[in-house]
Amino acid sequence: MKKFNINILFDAWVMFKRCLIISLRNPETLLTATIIPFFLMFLFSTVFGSISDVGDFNYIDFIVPGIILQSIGQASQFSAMNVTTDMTKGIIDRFRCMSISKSAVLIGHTGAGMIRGVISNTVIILTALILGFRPQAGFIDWLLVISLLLSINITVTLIAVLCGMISKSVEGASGLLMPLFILPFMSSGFAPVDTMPSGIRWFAAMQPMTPMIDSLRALTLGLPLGNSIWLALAWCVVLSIVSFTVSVRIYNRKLS
Amino acid sequence: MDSLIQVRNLCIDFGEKSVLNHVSLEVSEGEIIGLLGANGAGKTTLLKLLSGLLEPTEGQITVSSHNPWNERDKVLKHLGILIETPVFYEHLTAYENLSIHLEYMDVKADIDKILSLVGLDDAKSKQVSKFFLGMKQRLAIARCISHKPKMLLLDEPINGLDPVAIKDIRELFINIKKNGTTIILSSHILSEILQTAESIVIISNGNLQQLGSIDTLKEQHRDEIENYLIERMRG
Repeated sequence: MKKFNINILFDAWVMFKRCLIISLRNPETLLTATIIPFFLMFLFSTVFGSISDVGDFNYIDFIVPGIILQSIGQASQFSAMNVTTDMTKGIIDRFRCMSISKSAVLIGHTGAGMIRGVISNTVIILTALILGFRPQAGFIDWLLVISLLLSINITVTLIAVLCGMISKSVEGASGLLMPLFILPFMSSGFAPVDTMPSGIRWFAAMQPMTPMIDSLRALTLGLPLGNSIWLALAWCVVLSIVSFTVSVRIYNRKLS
Repeated sequence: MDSLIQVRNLCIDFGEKSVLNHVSLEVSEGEIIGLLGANGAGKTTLLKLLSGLLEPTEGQITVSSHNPWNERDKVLKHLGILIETPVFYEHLTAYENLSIHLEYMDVKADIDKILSLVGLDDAKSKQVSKFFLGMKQRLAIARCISHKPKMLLLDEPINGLDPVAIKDIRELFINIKKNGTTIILSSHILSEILQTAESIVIISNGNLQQLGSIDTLKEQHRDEIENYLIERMRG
Protein backbone atom coordinates (compact mmCIF):
# COMPACT_ATOMS: atom_id res chain seq x y z
CA MET A 1 0.00 0.00 0.00
CA LYS A 2 2.85 2.40 0.89
CA LYS A 3 4.52 1.80 -2.47
CA PHE A 4 1.21 2.25 -4.23
CA ASN A 5 0.63 5.64 -2.53
CA ILE A 6 4.14 6.82 -3.38
CA ASN A 7 3.54 5.92 -7.03
CA ILE A 8 0.33 7.99 -7.08
CA LEU A 9 2.13 10.99 -5.58
CA PHE A 10 5.06 10.69 -7.93
CA ASP A 11 2.91 10.26 -11.04
CA ALA A 12 0.64 13.11 -9.91
CA TRP A 13 3.68 15.35 -9.45
CA VAL A 14 4.91 14.60 -12.99
CA MET A 15 1.40 15.22 -14.35
CA PHE A 16 1.12 18.45 -12.38
CA LYS A 17 4.42 19.75 -13.80
CA ARG A 18 3.29 18.94 -17.32
CA CYS A 19 -0.10 20.67 -16.84
CA LEU A 20 1.60 23.70 -15.33
CA ILE A 21 4.08 24.04 -18.19
CA ILE A 22 1.23 23.83 -20.68
CA SER A 23 -0.60 26.60 -18.80
CA LEU A 24 2.45 28.84 -18.74
CA ARG A 25 3.10 28.30 -22.45
CA ASN A 26 -0.48 29.03 -23.43
CA PRO A 27 -0.85 32.84 -23.44
CA GLU A 28 -4.65 32.67 -23.30
CA THR A 29 -4.45 30.86 -19.98
CA LEU A 30 -2.31 33.56 -18.44
CA LEU A 31 -4.50 36.28 -19.90
CA THR A 32 -7.64 34.74 -18.49
CA ALA A 33 -5.99 34.35 -15.10
CA THR A 34 -4.68 37.92 -14.93
CA ILE A 35 -6.00 40.51 -17.38
CA ILE A 36 -9.66 39.51 -17.29
CA PRO A 37 -9.92 39.58 -13.49
CA PHE A 38 -8.16 42.92 -13.56
CA PHE A 39 -10.69 44.39 -15.97
CA LEU A 40 -13.63 42.85 -14.13
CA MET A 41 -12.48 44.49 -10.92
CA PHE A 42 -11.93 47.80 -12.70
CA LEU A 43 -15.26 47.70 -14.55
CA PHE A 44 -17.42 46.85 -11.57
CA SER A 45 -15.77 49.30 -9.21
CA THR A 46 -15.79 52.26 -11.60
CA VAL A 47 -18.81 51.82 -13.86
CA PHE A 48 -21.27 50.09 -11.56
CA GLY A 49 -20.01 51.37 -8.23
CA SER A 50 -21.71 54.72 -8.54
CA ILE A 51 -25.18 53.28 -9.27
CA SER A 52 -25.26 50.33 -6.87
CA ASP A 53 -26.68 50.43 -3.37
CA VAL A 54 -25.02 48.01 -0.99
CA GLY A 55 -26.06 49.62 2.23
CA ASP A 56 -23.27 50.83 4.50
CA PHE A 57 -20.50 49.15 2.52
CA ASN A 58 -18.03 50.72 0.20
CA TYR A 59 -18.98 49.07 -3.12
CA ILE A 60 -15.53 47.81 -3.93
CA ASP A 61 -15.20 46.25 -0.47
CA PHE A 62 -18.55 44.57 -1.06
CA ILE A 63 -17.84 43.06 -4.48
CA VAL A 64 -14.28 41.77 -4.06
CA PRO A 65 -15.41 38.29 -2.88
CA GLY A 66 -17.92 38.02 -5.75
CA ILE A 67 -15.34 39.00 -8.33
CA ILE A 68 -12.90 36.48 -6.84
CA LEU A 69 -15.41 33.65 -7.18
CA GLN A 70 -16.43 34.71 -10.64
CA SER A 71 -12.82 34.68 -11.79
CA ILE A 72 -12.17 31.29 -10.14
CA GLY A 73 -14.99 29.97 -12.30
CA GLN A 74 -13.49 31.63 -15.35
CA ALA A 75 -9.99 30.30 -14.71
CA SER A 76 -11.37 26.78 -14.23
CA GLN A 77 -12.48 26.51 -17.83
CA PHE A 78 -8.90 25.76 -18.85
CA SER A 79 -8.83 22.79 -16.54
CA ALA A 80 -11.97 21.49 -18.22
CA MET A 81 -10.59 22.15 -21.70
CA ASN A 82 -7.23 20.55 -20.93
CA VAL A 83 -8.91 17.44 -19.53
CA THR A 84 -11.16 17.16 -22.59
CA THR A 85 -8.15 17.57 -24.85
CA ASP A 86 -6.39 14.74 -23.03
CA MET A 87 -9.47 12.53 -23.22
CA THR A 88 -10.24 13.16 -26.89
CA LYS A 89 -6.86 13.69 -28.55
CA GLY A 90 -5.31 10.39 -27.55
CA ILE A 91 -3.18 11.43 -24.57
CA ILE A 92 -5.21 9.16 -22.32
CA ASP A 93 -4.63 6.29 -24.74
CA ARG A 94 -0.92 7.00 -24.29
CA PHE A 95 -1.34 6.68 -20.56
CA ARG A 96 -2.93 3.28 -21.05
CA CYS A 97 0.35 2.17 -22.62
CA MET A 98 2.21 3.17 -19.47
CA SER A 99 2.07 2.09 -15.89
CA ILE A 100 0.71 5.38 -14.54
CA SER A 101 -1.50 5.63 -11.47
CA LYS A 102 -5.01 6.35 -12.64
CA SER A 103 -5.65 9.09 -10.11
CA ALA A 104 -2.47 10.91 -11.13
CA VAL A 105 -4.08 12.45 -14.20
CA LEU A 106 -6.93 13.95 -12.19
CA ILE A 107 -4.69 15.08 -9.36
CA GLY A 108 -2.23 16.69 -11.77
CA HIS A 109 -4.93 18.64 -13.61
CA THR A 110 -6.50 19.71 -10.32
CA GLY A 111 -3.18 20.95 -9.00
CA ALA A 112 -2.45 23.00 -12.11
CA GLY A 113 -5.98 24.40 -12.07
CA MET A 114 -5.51 25.48 -8.48
CA ILE A 115 -2.37 27.37 -9.38
CA ARG A 116 -4.24 29.23 -12.13
CA GLY A 117 -6.98 30.08 -9.62
CA VAL A 118 -4.49 31.33 -7.05
CA ILE A 119 -2.80 33.56 -9.65
CA SER A 120 -6.19 34.96 -10.57
CA ASN A 121 -7.12 35.56 -6.92
CA THR A 122 -3.85 37.37 -6.30
CA VAL A 123 -4.34 39.67 -9.29
CA ILE A 124 -7.85 40.54 -8.15
CA ILE A 125 -6.85 41.35 -4.59
CA LEU A 126 -3.93 43.48 -5.72
CA THR A 127 -6.11 45.30 -8.24
CA ALA A 128 -8.80 45.85 -5.64
CA LEU A 129 -6.26 47.34 -3.23
CA ILE A 130 -5.18 49.79 -5.91
CA LEU A 131 -8.81 50.72 -6.63
CA GLY A 132 -9.73 51.37 -3.02
CA PHE A 133 -10.38 48.01 -1.33
CA ARG A 134 -9.61 48.45 2.36
CA PRO A 135 -9.73 45.14 4.18
CA GLN A 136 -9.98 45.07 7.95
CA ALA A 137 -8.71 41.53 8.34
CA GLY A 138 -6.13 40.56 10.96
CA PHE A 139 -3.47 37.91 10.54
CA ILE A 140 -5.73 35.00 11.55
CA ASP A 141 -8.50 36.32 9.29
CA TRP A 142 -6.10 36.36 6.34
CA LEU A 143 -5.03 32.79 7.09
CA LEU A 144 -8.69 31.80 7.06
CA VAL A 145 -9.23 33.72 3.81
CA ILE A 146 -6.31 31.91 2.18
CA SER A 147 -7.53 28.53 3.46
CA LEU A 148 -11.06 29.18 2.23
CA LEU A 149 -9.85 30.37 -1.16
CA LEU A 150 -7.69 27.26 -1.54
CA SER A 151 -10.70 25.10 -0.67
CA ILE A 152 -12.88 26.92 -3.17
CA ASN A 153 -10.19 26.69 -5.84
CA ILE A 154 -9.88 22.93 -5.30
CA THR A 155 -13.65 22.48 -5.42
CA VAL A 156 -14.20 24.51 -8.56
CA THR A 157 -11.24 22.87 -10.29
CA LEU A 158 -12.58 19.41 -9.47
CA ILE A 159 -15.95 20.40 -10.92
CA ALA A 160 -14.13 21.64 -14.02
CA VAL A 161 -12.17 18.38 -14.29
CA LEU A 162 -15.48 16.48 -14.11
CA CYS A 163 -16.92 18.67 -16.88
CA GLY A 164 -13.80 17.94 -18.91
CA MET A 165 -14.29 14.21 -18.41
CA ILE A 166 -17.92 14.34 -19.48
CA SER A 167 -17.58 16.59 -22.46
CA LYS A 168 -16.84 15.27 -25.94
CA SER A 169 -15.37 18.54 -27.18
CA VAL A 170 -13.29 21.41 -25.87
CA GLU A 171 -16.10 23.88 -26.70
CA GLY A 172 -18.57 21.72 -24.85
CA ALA A 173 -16.33 21.57 -21.79
CA SER A 174 -16.23 25.35 -21.62
CA GLY A 175 -20.01 25.51 -22.06
CA LEU A 176 -20.68 23.06 -19.23
CA LEU A 177 -18.96 25.49 -16.86
CA MET A 178 -21.23 28.41 -17.76
CA PRO A 179 -23.14 28.12 -14.45
CA LEU A 180 -19.93 28.86 -12.57
CA PHE A 181 -19.70 32.23 -14.34
CA ILE A 182 -23.36 33.06 -13.72
CA LEU A 183 -23.89 31.83 -10.17
CA PRO A 184 -21.85 34.64 -8.53
CA PHE A 185 -24.25 37.16 -10.09
CA MET A 186 -27.21 35.30 -8.58
CA SER A 187 -25.72 35.32 -5.11
CA SER A 188 -24.70 37.85 -2.50
CA GLY A 189 -21.71 38.70 -4.65
CA PHE A 190 -22.83 41.95 -6.26
CA ALA A 191 -25.95 42.97 -4.37
CA PRO A 192 -27.45 42.14 -0.98
CA VAL A 193 -29.65 39.05 -1.26
CA ASP A 194 -32.61 40.70 0.47
CA THR A 195 -32.85 43.29 -2.34
CA MET A 196 -33.57 40.57 -4.92
CA PRO A 197 -37.03 39.43 -6.13
CA SER A 198 -38.38 36.59 -3.99
CA GLY A 199 -37.66 33.65 -6.32
CA ILE A 200 -34.10 34.72 -7.02
CA ARG A 201 -33.65 35.64 -3.36
CA TRP A 202 -34.52 32.08 -2.36
CA PHE A 203 -32.15 30.65 -4.95
CA ALA A 204 -29.37 33.04 -3.98
CA ALA A 205 -29.76 32.08 -0.33
CA MET A 206 -29.62 28.34 -1.11
CA GLN A 207 -26.82 28.14 -3.64
CA PRO A 208 -23.23 27.37 -2.54
CA MET A 209 -21.61 30.61 -3.71
CA THR A 210 -23.51 32.78 -1.22
CA PRO A 211 -22.00 31.33 1.99
CA MET A 212 -18.57 31.32 0.31
CA ILE A 213 -18.91 34.99 -0.62
CA ASP A 214 -20.43 35.93 2.75
CA SER A 215 -17.53 34.20 4.54
CA LEU A 216 -14.87 35.95 2.46
CA ARG A 217 -16.61 39.28 2.96
CA ALA A 218 -16.92 38.78 6.72
CA LEU A 219 -13.27 37.76 7.04
CA THR A 220 -11.87 40.57 4.90
CA LEU A 221 -14.01 43.30 6.43
CA GLY A 222 -13.87 42.15 10.06
CA LEU A 223 -17.61 41.33 10.24
CA PRO A 224 -19.28 38.57 12.31
CA LEU A 225 -18.69 35.25 10.57
CA GLY A 226 -21.78 33.37 11.77
CA ASN A 227 -22.49 29.99 10.20
CA SER A 228 -21.52 30.96 6.68
CA ILE A 229 -17.95 29.62 7.00
CA TRP A 230 -19.23 26.17 8.01
CA LEU A 231 -21.77 26.16 5.22
CA ALA A 232 -19.09 27.24 2.76
CA LEU A 233 -16.71 24.49 3.88
CA ALA A 234 -19.49 21.90 3.86
CA TRP A 235 -20.33 22.80 0.26
CA CYS A 236 -16.63 22.58 -0.66
CA VAL A 237 -16.25 19.15 0.91
CA VAL A 238 -19.43 17.69 -0.58
CA LEU A 239 -18.90 19.09 -4.07
CA SER A 240 -15.23 18.05 -4.06
CA ILE A 241 -15.96 14.48 -2.98
CA VAL A 242 -18.77 14.07 -5.48
CA SER A 243 -16.79 15.60 -8.36
CA PHE A 244 -13.66 13.60 -7.65
CA THR A 245 -15.50 10.30 -7.17
CA VAL A 246 -17.54 10.65 -10.34
CA SER A 247 -14.48 11.81 -12.31
CA VAL A 248 -12.48 8.78 -11.20
CA ARG A 249 -15.33 6.45 -12.20
CA ILE A 250 -15.70 8.04 -15.60
CA TYR A 251 -11.94 7.99 -16.11
CA ASN A 252 -11.64 4.32 -15.13
CA ARG A 253 -14.50 3.44 -17.45
CA LYS A 254 -12.83 5.24 -20.34
CA LEU A 255 -9.52 3.53 -19.60
CA SER A 256 -10.92 0.03 -19.53
CA MET B 1 15.93 -19.15 -27.02
CA ASP B 2 13.12 -18.61 -24.47
CA SER B 3 9.67 -17.61 -25.70
CA LEU B 4 9.02 -14.03 -24.69
CA ILE B 5 5.52 -14.04 -26.11
CA GLN B 6 3.13 -16.95 -26.22
CA VAL B 7 -0.30 -16.69 -27.78
CA ARG B 8 -2.66 -19.66 -27.66
CA ASN B 9 -5.98 -19.92 -29.50
CA LEU B 10 -6.55 -16.21 -29.34
CA CYS B 11 -9.90 -14.86 -30.48
CA ILE B 12 -11.27 -11.37 -30.46
CA ASP B 13 -14.64 -10.26 -31.71
CA PHE B 14 -15.89 -6.74 -32.25
CA GLY B 15 -19.62 -7.14 -32.07
CA GLU B 16 -20.47 -9.91 -34.48
CA LYS B 17 -17.27 -9.58 -36.44
CA SER B 18 -14.50 -12.01 -35.60
CA VAL B 19 -11.22 -10.15 -36.13
CA LEU B 20 -8.83 -12.82 -34.91
CA ASN B 21 -9.89 -16.44 -34.96
CA HIS B 22 -7.99 -18.95 -32.79
CA VAL B 23 -4.55 -17.59 -33.61
CA SER B 24 -1.40 -18.86 -31.98
CA LEU B 25 2.05 -17.36 -31.98
CA GLU B 26 5.41 -17.74 -30.30
CA VAL B 27 8.08 -15.07 -30.29
CA SER B 28 11.54 -15.71 -28.93
CA GLU B 29 13.73 -13.18 -27.21
CA GLY B 30 15.86 -11.07 -29.46
CA GLU B 31 13.85 -11.63 -32.65
CA ILE B 32 12.62 -9.06 -35.12
CA ILE B 33 9.23 -10.22 -36.36
CA GLY B 34 7.58 -8.60 -39.33
CA LEU B 35 3.80 -8.57 -39.07
CA LEU B 36 2.19 -8.37 -42.48
CA GLY B 37 -1.40 -8.08 -43.53
CA ALA B 38 -3.77 -6.05 -45.61
CA ASN B 39 -5.47 -2.99 -44.15
CA GLY B 40 -8.01 -4.10 -41.58
CA ALA B 41 -6.53 -7.60 -41.31
CA GLY B 42 -5.99 -7.32 -37.56
CA LYS B 43 -2.34 -6.32 -37.19
CA THR B 44 -3.06 -3.35 -34.93
CA THR B 45 -5.57 -5.42 -33.00
CA LEU B 46 -2.97 -8.09 -32.33
CA LEU B 47 -0.46 -5.49 -31.13
CA LYS B 48 -3.10 -3.98 -28.83
CA LEU B 49 -3.85 -7.43 -27.42
CA LEU B 50 -0.16 -8.04 -26.75
CA SER B 51 0.13 -4.72 -24.93
CA GLY B 52 -3.01 -5.23 -22.83
CA LEU B 53 -4.97 -2.44 -24.48
CA LEU B 54 -7.65 -4.91 -25.55
CA GLU B 55 -9.06 -7.93 -23.76
CA PRO B 56 -9.30 -11.10 -25.83
CA THR B 57 -12.65 -12.80 -26.22
CA GLU B 58 -10.98 -16.16 -25.87
CA GLY B 59 -7.52 -17.64 -25.58
CA GLN B 60 -4.36 -16.90 -23.66
CA ILE B 61 -1.54 -14.44 -24.02
CA THR B 62 1.61 -14.29 -21.97
CA VAL B 63 4.24 -11.61 -22.37
CA SER B 64 7.33 -12.14 -20.23
CA SER B 65 5.30 -14.77 -18.34
CA HIS B 66 2.55 -12.27 -17.47
CA ASN B 67 -0.95 -11.74 -18.79
CA PRO B 68 -0.94 -8.27 -20.36
CA TRP B 69 -4.62 -7.63 -19.62
CA ASN B 70 -4.63 -8.69 -15.96
CA GLU B 71 -1.05 -7.83 -15.08
CA ARG B 72 -0.64 -4.72 -17.16
CA ASP B 73 1.77 -2.94 -14.80
CA LYS B 74 4.19 -5.87 -14.91
CA VAL B 75 4.11 -6.03 -18.70
CA LEU B 76 4.05 -2.33 -19.64
CA LYS B 77 7.33 -1.42 -17.98
CA HIS B 78 9.10 -3.83 -20.32
CA LEU B 79 7.30 -2.64 -23.45
CA GLY B 80 7.88 0.18 -25.87
CA ILE B 81 4.68 0.75 -27.78
CA LEU B 82 3.98 2.70 -30.93
CA ILE B 83 0.43 2.02 -32.02
CA GLU B 84 -1.59 4.23 -34.35
CA THR B 85 -0.89 7.94 -34.61
CA PRO B 86 1.64 9.08 -32.03
CA VAL B 87 0.31 11.61 -29.55
CA PHE B 88 2.40 14.12 -27.64
CA TYR B 89 2.05 17.10 -25.37
CA GLU B 90 2.02 19.63 -28.17
CA HIS B 91 3.06 22.62 -26.05
CA LEU B 92 6.13 20.82 -24.79
CA THR B 93 9.39 20.37 -26.64
CA ALA B 94 10.73 17.06 -27.87
CA TYR B 95 13.18 17.01 -24.97
CA GLU B 96 10.44 17.73 -22.43
CA ASN B 97 8.13 15.07 -23.84
CA LEU B 98 10.84 12.45 -23.47
CA SER B 99 11.80 13.76 -20.05
CA ILE B 100 8.23 13.37 -18.79
CA HIS B 101 7.97 9.91 -20.32
CA LEU B 102 11.14 8.81 -18.54
CA GLU B 103 9.87 10.24 -15.26
CA TYR B 104 6.71 8.20 -15.59
CA MET B 105 8.74 5.09 -16.37
CA ASP B 106 11.07 5.91 -13.44
CA VAL B 107 14.09 5.50 -15.70
CA LYS B 108 17.10 7.72 -16.25
CA ALA B 109 18.47 8.03 -19.77
CA ASP B 110 20.57 10.32 -21.91
CA ILE B 111 17.81 12.15 -23.77
CA ASP B 112 20.23 13.99 -26.04
CA LYS B 113 21.68 10.67 -27.17
CA ILE B 114 18.24 9.16 -27.77
CA LEU B 115 17.15 12.15 -29.85
CA SER B 116 20.39 11.92 -31.79
CA LEU B 117 19.69 8.24 -32.56
CA VAL B 118 16.46 9.20 -34.29
CA GLY B 119 17.88 12.30 -35.97
CA LEU B 120 16.10 14.88 -33.83
CA ASP B 121 19.09 16.44 -32.08
CA ASP B 122 18.54 19.75 -33.88
CA ALA B 123 14.87 19.79 -32.93
CA LYS B 124 15.11 18.97 -29.25
CA SER B 125 14.04 22.44 -28.11
CA LYS B 126 11.24 22.76 -30.62
CA GLN B 127 7.64 22.44 -29.49
CA VAL B 128 6.00 19.32 -30.87
CA SER B 129 3.14 21.44 -32.25
CA LYS B 130 5.64 22.61 -34.88
CA PHE B 131 6.74 19.10 -35.88
CA PHE B 132 5.95 17.50 -39.24
CA LEU B 133 4.49 13.99 -39.29
CA GLY B 134 7.88 12.41 -39.93
CA MET B 135 9.41 14.22 -36.97
CA LYS B 136 6.56 13.12 -34.71
CA GLN B 137 7.05 9.56 -35.88
CA ARG B 138 10.76 9.76 -35.06
CA LEU B 139 9.98 11.21 -31.66
CA ALA B 140 7.51 8.38 -31.09
CA ILE B 141 10.24 5.86 -31.88
CA ALA B 142 12.58 7.72 -29.52
CA ARG B 143 9.96 7.52 -26.80
CA CYS B 144 9.54 3.79 -27.38
CA ILE B 145 13.22 3.03 -26.98
CA SER B 146 14.09 5.62 -24.34
CA HIS B 147 13.39 3.45 -21.31
CA LYS B 148 15.31 0.47 -22.78
CA PRO B 149 12.36 -1.92 -22.96
CA LYS B 150 12.77 -5.65 -23.51
CA MET B 151 10.30 -5.54 -26.35
CA LEU B 152 9.05 -3.08 -28.94
CA LEU B 153 5.60 -3.26 -30.47
CA LEU B 154 5.65 -0.98 -33.50
CA ASP B 155 2.66 -0.34 -35.71
CA GLU B 156 3.70 1.17 -39.05
CA PRO B 157 6.79 2.81 -37.54
CA ILE B 158 8.08 4.25 -40.80
CA ASN B 159 4.83 6.00 -41.62
CA GLY B 160 5.60 9.51 -42.84
CA LEU B 161 9.37 9.06 -42.97
CA ASP B 162 11.50 10.00 -45.95
CA PRO B 163 13.82 7.38 -47.51
CA VAL B 164 16.88 8.61 -45.61
CA ALA B 165 15.04 8.46 -42.29
CA ILE B 166 13.65 5.02 -43.18
CA LYS B 167 17.17 3.71 -43.69
CA ASP B 168 18.38 5.29 -40.44
CA ILE B 169 15.48 3.87 -38.45
CA ARG B 170 15.94 0.44 -40.02
CA GLU B 171 19.57 0.42 -38.90
CA LEU B 172 18.50 1.62 -35.47
CA PHE B 173 16.09 -1.31 -35.10
CA ILE B 174 18.75 -3.77 -36.18
CA ASN B 175 21.19 -2.32 -33.63
CA ILE B 176 18.57 -2.42 -30.89
CA LYS B 177 17.89 -6.03 -31.70
CA LYS B 178 21.59 -6.83 -31.27
CA ASN B 179 21.22 -5.71 -27.64
CA GLY B 180 18.63 -8.42 -27.12
CA THR B 181 15.47 -6.40 -27.61
CA THR B 182 12.59 -8.23 -29.25
CA ILE B 183 10.80 -6.24 -31.94
CA ILE B 184 7.45 -6.86 -33.54
CA LEU B 185 6.85 -4.40 -36.30
CA SER B 186 3.84 -4.28 -38.49
CA SER B 187 3.75 -2.73 -41.91
CA HIS B 188 1.99 -3.01 -45.19
CA ILE B 189 5.23 -2.04 -46.97
CA LEU B 190 6.53 -5.44 -47.94
CA SER B 191 10.00 -4.34 -48.94
CA GLU B 192 10.59 -2.72 -45.58
CA ILE B 193 9.61 -5.87 -43.72
CA LEU B 194 11.92 -7.92 -45.92
CA GLN B 195 14.86 -5.61 -45.20
CA THR B 196 14.30 -5.20 -41.45
CA ALA B 197 12.67 -8.32 -40.03
CA GLU B 198 14.14 -11.79 -39.50
CA SER B 199 10.90 -13.73 -39.70
CA ILE B 200 7.41 -13.07 -40.93
CA VAL B 201 3.93 -13.49 -39.54
CA ILE B 202 0.97 -12.90 -41.82
CA ILE B 203 -2.55 -12.10 -40.72
CA SER B 204 -5.36 -12.58 -43.19
CA ASN B 205 -9.06 -13.30 -42.80
CA GLY B 206 -8.67 -13.54 -39.01
CA ASN B 207 -6.03 -16.24 -39.28
CA LEU B 208 -2.34 -16.02 -38.45
CA GLN B 209 0.43 -17.77 -40.36
CA GLN B 210 3.89 -17.88 -38.86
CA LEU B 211 5.98 -18.31 -41.97
CA GLY B 212 9.38 -18.48 -40.35
CA SER B 213 12.74 -17.08 -41.33
CA ILE B 214 12.94 -14.56 -44.16
CA ASP B 215 16.31 -15.95 -45.23
CA THR B 216 14.71 -19.38 -45.69
CA LEU B 217 11.79 -17.89 -47.60
CA LYS B 218 14.20 -16.00 -49.87
CA GLU B 219 16.10 -19.22 -50.59
CA GLN B 220 12.86 -21.01 -51.41
CA HIS B 221 11.17 -18.32 -53.50
CA ARG B 222 14.06 -16.09 -54.61
CA ASP B 223 12.72 -13.26 -56.83
CA GLU B 224 9.15 -14.43 -56.35
CA ILE B 225 9.13 -13.89 -52.61
CA GLU B 226 7.03 -10.74 -52.80
CA ASN B 227 4.42 -12.43 -54.96
CA TYR B 228 4.41 -15.37 -52.59
CA LEU B 229 3.84 -13.16 -49.57
CA ILE B 230 1.13 -11.19 -51.31
CA GLU B 231 -0.71 -14.39 -52.15
CA ARG B 232 -0.47 -15.48 -48.51
CA MET B 233 -1.79 -12.09 -47.44
CA ARG B 234 -4.80 -12.59 -49.68
CA GLY B 235 -5.52 -15.77 -47.74
